Order: sequence, then C-alpha cells, then structure tokens
Amino acid sequence: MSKRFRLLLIVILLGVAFAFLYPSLQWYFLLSPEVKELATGSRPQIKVYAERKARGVLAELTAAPVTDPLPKPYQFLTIAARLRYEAEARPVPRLWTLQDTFRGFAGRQELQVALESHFRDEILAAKELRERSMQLGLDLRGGMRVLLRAKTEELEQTAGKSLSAAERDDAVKRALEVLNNRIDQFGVSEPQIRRQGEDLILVELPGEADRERMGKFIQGRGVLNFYIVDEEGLGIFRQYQAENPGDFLDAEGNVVQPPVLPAGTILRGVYIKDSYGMDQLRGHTVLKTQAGLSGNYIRDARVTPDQITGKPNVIFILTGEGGEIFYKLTSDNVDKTLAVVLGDKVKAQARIAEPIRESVRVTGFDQEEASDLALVLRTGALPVPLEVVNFQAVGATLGEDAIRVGLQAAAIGFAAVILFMLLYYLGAGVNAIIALVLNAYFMFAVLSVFNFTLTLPAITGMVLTIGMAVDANVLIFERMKEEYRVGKSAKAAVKAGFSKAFWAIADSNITTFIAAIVLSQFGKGPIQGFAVTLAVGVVSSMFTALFVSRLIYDFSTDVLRISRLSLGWRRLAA
Amino acid sequence: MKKAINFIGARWIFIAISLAMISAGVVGFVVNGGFNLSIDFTAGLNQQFRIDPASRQVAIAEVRQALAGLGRYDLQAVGNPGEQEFVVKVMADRADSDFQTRTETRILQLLETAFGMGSVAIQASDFVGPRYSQELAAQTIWIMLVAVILILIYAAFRFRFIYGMAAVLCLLHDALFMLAVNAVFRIEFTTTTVAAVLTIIGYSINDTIVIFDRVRENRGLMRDADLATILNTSITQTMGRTILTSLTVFLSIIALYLVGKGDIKNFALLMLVGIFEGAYSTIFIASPIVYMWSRANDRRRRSRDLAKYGRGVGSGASPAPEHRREEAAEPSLPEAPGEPVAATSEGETAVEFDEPAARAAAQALPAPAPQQGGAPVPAADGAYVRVQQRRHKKRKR
Repeated sequence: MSKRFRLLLIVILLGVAFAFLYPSLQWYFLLSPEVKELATGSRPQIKVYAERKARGVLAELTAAPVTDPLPKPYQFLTIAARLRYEAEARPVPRLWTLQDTFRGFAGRQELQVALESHFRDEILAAKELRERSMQLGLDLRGGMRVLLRAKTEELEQTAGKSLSAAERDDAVKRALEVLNNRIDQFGVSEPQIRRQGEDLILVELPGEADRERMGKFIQGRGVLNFYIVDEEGLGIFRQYQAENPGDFLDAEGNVVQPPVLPAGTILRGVYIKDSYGMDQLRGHTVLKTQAGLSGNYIRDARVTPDQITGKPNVIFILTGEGGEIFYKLTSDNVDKTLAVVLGDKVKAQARIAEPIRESVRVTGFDQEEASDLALVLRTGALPVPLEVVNFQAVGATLGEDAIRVGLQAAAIGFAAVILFMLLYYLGAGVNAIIALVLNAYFMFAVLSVFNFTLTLPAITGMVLTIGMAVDANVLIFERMKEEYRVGKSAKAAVKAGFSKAFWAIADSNITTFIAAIVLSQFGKGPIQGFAVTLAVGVVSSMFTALFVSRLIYDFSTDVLRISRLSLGWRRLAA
Repeated sequence: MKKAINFIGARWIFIAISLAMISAGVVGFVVNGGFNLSIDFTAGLNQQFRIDPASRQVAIAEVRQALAGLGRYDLQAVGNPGEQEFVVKVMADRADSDFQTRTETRILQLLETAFGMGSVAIQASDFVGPRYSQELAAQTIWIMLVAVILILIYAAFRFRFIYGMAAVLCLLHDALFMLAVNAVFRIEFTTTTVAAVLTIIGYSINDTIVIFDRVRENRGLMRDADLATILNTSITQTMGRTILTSLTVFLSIIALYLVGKGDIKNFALLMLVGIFEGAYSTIFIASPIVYMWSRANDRRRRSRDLAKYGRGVGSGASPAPEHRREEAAEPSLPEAPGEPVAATSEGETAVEFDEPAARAAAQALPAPAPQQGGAPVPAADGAYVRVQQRRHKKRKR
C-alpha cells in the first residue's frame, strides 16, 4: 500500500471515529444545562414544559406592538407562515413583523400549537442525542440497579400444570410490559428496563438511591384500579371550571385539586395517547377517592370485534374473588360511570349497564385504543411473581468519588506510561505516544457508537489497555534496535522491526482478546464493561501500533529522509 | 552478542521456588478454610456506610461492637481511615424471604443507636440472592476452563505442541499463584478477582510467545547448537523485552492501585502480582518445561528404539534430537516395495513428529511388516543422511 493511500485510510478512520463521538461531544460540551436537565426528564414533563413555554411566548408576542419585527429566536415561525402565504397566493413579506407572522396562522390556537411543537421537538431532539451518546453507569452517577427473576415455577404451581416455553416467555414479556407501564409513575429519573436472558429483568434507576420508591415500583400495588365517577362532584367541578379556566396542572404535570370538591372525591385528568406516544390531557373527571376494584384481580384481557357492529370490544376476565367484589360494586352503581385508572390517570370510562360478575366488556374505542386498554388491563398486575436476585444501590456522592478515582487513575497511568516511553525511547517514544493517544480516541469512538455505558470497571479496562497498548511498540522498537545494531539502514531496520515483531504482537493480542471475549460472557453486570473495553482496546491498539506507527516511520525515513533512528540513549550504529 | 545466561542449567531452582510458592498457597487455602468468598458467590448483603467524622470519631472496634446484634457478619474499613467508611457483609439467610430489606434496616438501626441519628450515611448497598450466586459460582469455573482451552487451542495451532503446552502450563502457574496470594492473604474473592485472573491468563502468555517466537527463529540460525543453548540464548535476547512490556503494564496498574479503593484496589493488587508472576514464569519456567519435555521425549524414544531394535540403533543411527525433528521429518508415503528398509526407517521417524496433524498422518502409515524385510533391520545410515539433507528446506511458519 502506498503511503498516500494509508494516510488517506487513517484520515477517513479518524473522521468516522469523530462522527461516532459527535453525539457524546455535543451532549457533554455543547448543550446548555437547562436543556440537558429537561431532556433527562420524562415525556409528560417535556410536554408540560413545551405547553407552558409556548403560552408564555404567545403572551409575550401578543403583548408587543404588532408592527415590531419578529424577534430572532422565533424566526422558525416564518416557515409555517410562509407556506400559508404561498397557499393563499399572498405576497410573502421580506421582513416579518409580528402582524405578518400572526396572519400566517389561522388563529391563536394554531400559533400556540406551532410554538409548542417547536419547543417539544427541541427537547426531544436533545433526548435522542442523549440516547446516542456515551452515558455514565450507575456506579458513577449514583442510582439503583436491580436484577429481577420471574418466578415462573410459582406460576406453574398456581396453574397446577407445567408451562410451555412459549407460555413462560409470554409471562416474562408481560411482566416487562407491566414494569414499563409503571415507569409513568416515576417522573424525573429515567428508568431503564431490559430483559436479560430467559427469565431475568434488569431495572436501572439513576439518581438518588431511594429504596422505598424502588420497592413500590417492583411490587407496584394499586397501579391499575377501577373507580366510580362521582356525578355530584363532577357537576361542582364543571361549574368551578367555567369560572376558572385552565388545565389544573402544576409544573410537574400533576393535577391540582380545586378547593371546591366535596370530601371523599378527587379530581383526575383523562388522558389518551397522542401521536408522540405521550399521554395527552383530554379533560377531567371527579372520582370517589376509594377504589372500587384493584387491577390485581384481573386475570386476562383481550380485544375482540363486536359481533354486530364490528367495533372493537375490550373484554377482561376477573378472578373468582375479584368477580364477587366487582358484582357488588356494579350492582350498587348501575347507570353510573366506571373509570379505568392507571396510576393517577383516567384511561377509559364506561357506563355500567348492568351488574357484572366475571367478564367485563368495554366498548366505544377505536382499534388502537382498544388494544392499548387491553394491554393496560392485562399489565396492571404482574402476571408472575418477581424475586430480587441482585440489588445494587450507589449514593450520588460515592458516584462522584468513583469518577474522581477513575479520572485520576487514568491520568496517572497515562502520564507514567508516556513519561517512561519518552525517557526510554526518546524519538521513538514520541511515535508510541501518538499511537497511544490515537488508540484512546478510537476506543472512545467505538465504545460510543455501541452506546456503551461508562462504568468504573470500564475505566479500569481503559487504564489497563494504556499499559498493554505500548507493549506492541516496545516489541517493535526492541526489534528495530537489534536490526539497527547489526548495521542495517534506518529504512531497513524499520521494515525488519515491524515485520519480524508482527507475529509476536498478533499472537499475544489474540490471546488477550480471547480471554476478554470469554470474560465478557461472565456475570451480568460490571465485569462485562471491563471485558468489552479490554477487547476493544486490544483491537484498536493493534491497529495504531502496527499501522499508524508504521506510517509515521515510513514517512520520516522516506519523505523526511531521516537516516538515524532515535531509539534510546545508547548509540546503536556508527 | 551478549553472552547467554544459563537459565536451563538452573531450572530446578526456579521450579522449586514456584512449587514452594504454590504449595504455600495450598497450605494457606487449607488453613484459612478456603477463599474469603464475597457475597457474589455466597449470597448476602454488602452495605457501605460512612460515619460522619465531624459528628463522631469512631474506631473500627466500636463499629464492630455496635453491629454485634447482626449475628454472623464481616466488617472492613475502606479507603482513607479519616473518612470512616466501612463495609459490612452479612450472609444471606435462605429461609428468610425478606432478608434484604430486613437486614438493611437492622444495620442502620444498630448504627444509629450506637452513634446517634443522622451521623450514619448509607453510601452503597449490594445484595446478591442465592440463586444468582450459585449460577455465578458455576459460571466462574466454566469460564476459566473455556478461556484456558481456547488459548491452548490457539497456541497449539500457532506453535508446536510442546511449546503450546508449556505456555499454557505457565498460565496455569500464574493463575494458581494469584489464587494462592488471594487465599493466603484472605483478600476477598469477588467477580473482580475472576476478571483479574482471566486478564492475566490472556496477557501473561504474551511474553512467553515472544520467547518462543525467538526460539523458532534461532533454531534456523543456530544449526549446531543444542536445545539448551538455543533456549538460553532466546531468553537472554528477549529478557529486556519481557521486563519492559511488563513494566509498562505495571506502571498503569500502579496508578489504579494508588488511587483506587475497595474492589479496584484489590483488583490492581492481584494484577500486579499476576504481571510480576507472568514475567517470572516466562523467563524461568516456560523454557525449562519445553526443555525437560523434549528431553523426556527423546529419552523415551531412545529406550523404545532400544527395546525394538536392540543395541545397534542407538549408536548407529540415532534419530534426530527433539528440537531438530521438525525439520528432519517429512511425513512420507511408504516407498516402493523395493526399499522396505528405508521406508520403515522414515515411517518411524515421522511417528515421533510433534505436530498433531503430522502425527495423525504418520499413524495412518502402515505398520512395518516384518515379513517384508525379514527380521527388523537397523536403519541404514544412508536413510538418515537423506533425511538430514531435507533439513535445509525452510519450514513455512
């Protein structure tokens, strides 16, 4: 390969690596802290933020004189406005005043929506960026990590028969759905829920290590419930609402209780899922505080088309005990409205036509809503008991401590190795250091593109890789010394040094790689991070030591015509 | 050229040292009642807490006393003593399904009673259930075996059998030594320990490979030297490299050891031991194994030949010594029936050939048929000379 081609290849790889690193760089160095904080929030919070901000901006814009030019930060509005101008064949203004902009929208509502979706997309884009960048593990930022096992054998016991693999798989899947639904309850932090292997579920909650919250999350009691709508309270609320319009939400998106409601009733928001997959507030209702029936009594739920109208029906089947409770509840409340509440959000309402005992049919949904509701009903209660097999909690302060330890170790290790290489090999040491720095760069890039989570063991792996990466350089340089000593020219010594050291380097790296790959299969947590960094480091160090270092040497002997190699303090050749 | 140091001659000293160290490990293992297993393998709860030094100065004995109500537990200070950070380890009670939460609250309760409310902060907790720990223990053994076997396969594929085996024996030696240190000093055996041992298994073979690579090269250069000289020369030539490469890794791990605490510190310590031991075994153990194994093979072969052919063979046409065998033997098909003697002789040579594939090929050869040439005839000198000429063919790597 010609030098030019090799140089080109290295430059391309550097560019690709930069593209891999870009999301992480953007996230850590370019985004403002406020945007970052919002982006770590939950989707409902982002929605509330966007709504509020849009309302504020709208108020600001309408308060200003209409002849003012449109302020810079809101120039994005002209894109939508221009479309409307063009559609109506009106002349597009060159300089947009507020008035011009308002005329580009059908009304206040439309302007509000345009602002809202802009602010929301901004945060959602940041959120996506975050998902693509390298994240810190819980041991570095604090948080909780729980490995749960679905106790399918207990399920078999209650069912009284052995379950097929597919049934067991379904039970675990449903448990996963339940946990995912419960995420809504968590607000600020971003839980991660993943299935691991056949019957294990990993839950990670960053932030403060709050045991109680975690316990609630796993047990999830009372997540899905049935309530009876309080007609009297609803009437009072409607009247109050007419006098005090608003969404009755606070900054976190929680419903604010109006002071007028009668005792024993509570105001709840009615939500449906919008196109973003977020819960959209559709109105309010007033419920009796006491739940009519807990979702734990639901045995199964499915969607079937209505035999006459063909519209989807949601049918859920209660357990025997639940049926008794529900029968009593429905007979007492005929002609009243039953609300299906997930967490504190009303997801569905239906009029009770007659007492119901075991199987309940709820109508009036479109297909998607129906399957969503069936899912909600099915996942209210855990289909299979879960047991904690591994629990780790790390306080945020300890996490900061761990970051400090990791950074210090990396810095000291890096400095020590660099110093040693420079002092021992002089000129060649510089070459080795370039290889080492590039190695770290490539390692980060590869880890970043695989969405790798940086943990303390992973940093340990990196520090270790620093020491191992220069091994290849040492082998090459020692070989070069030998060749140089017997009187070869610089160019010949470089060539012989690299080619004769090649197999020793390849062999040793391959064995380390084998060990790292085997290790990466070990355990279900931190060790894997160590093993993966080690494996990546072995590969990238081989590339930098054999390919990049070689090119630098070829360049200095061929292009710069350097005839004397600097390989240490001793004079090697005459 | 530098004078070769006689490592092979002093081999018994080094082997004795290694055996003594590993035996000390076994003794320590037995005396200490096995490894100091962490909750990763025994199931239980680890809780790290800090007693605020501003509100209360405590000695570890006081903390131990405060926690006496827990029953069987283990307490250790971590990090800087001034920080008053401790880890308490409690083994899981299998009968108690609510062990985790109950023990957590109990620990906090006991500590707060002793040192006052609000002075104790739980920094981290780690619970491992019985099922997980059992799986992990079983996995540990498997993972070690798989790693060693894969490396053995790779080494056998890249090197001659004896060399591959010697490299893997060195690995086992290093791993055993690390485990010995773990057992003798009662360092906690965690998943991190497994990571350290496996990393050393993957890494410490590197230097051994460098030496064997050099042996392979020197075999071609030093035609008249015997195996011991070749090995000694190779070790001497590469020793600087072995020390340098170990040193760079040593430097980076020292950093981890200095700033790390708890698990990371233990990991770094074990890695330091492993790197040191890896360099030691590469220089002092690997080559002696090759030497002794080859010699044992030679001796066995000679005695077998002696039994087979009588006295004439050993002196008349001794087969090529072990380290020359590779060049000497080319698996060859039996030649035309007109020359039964030569065919027999070459067939025999090939059977002793080291490469597994070649051995298989050699075994496929028909056994020498006595009736063809009557009584077994000592190999004619002519046959050996011919074989010797083939030595000059350069073997492909």
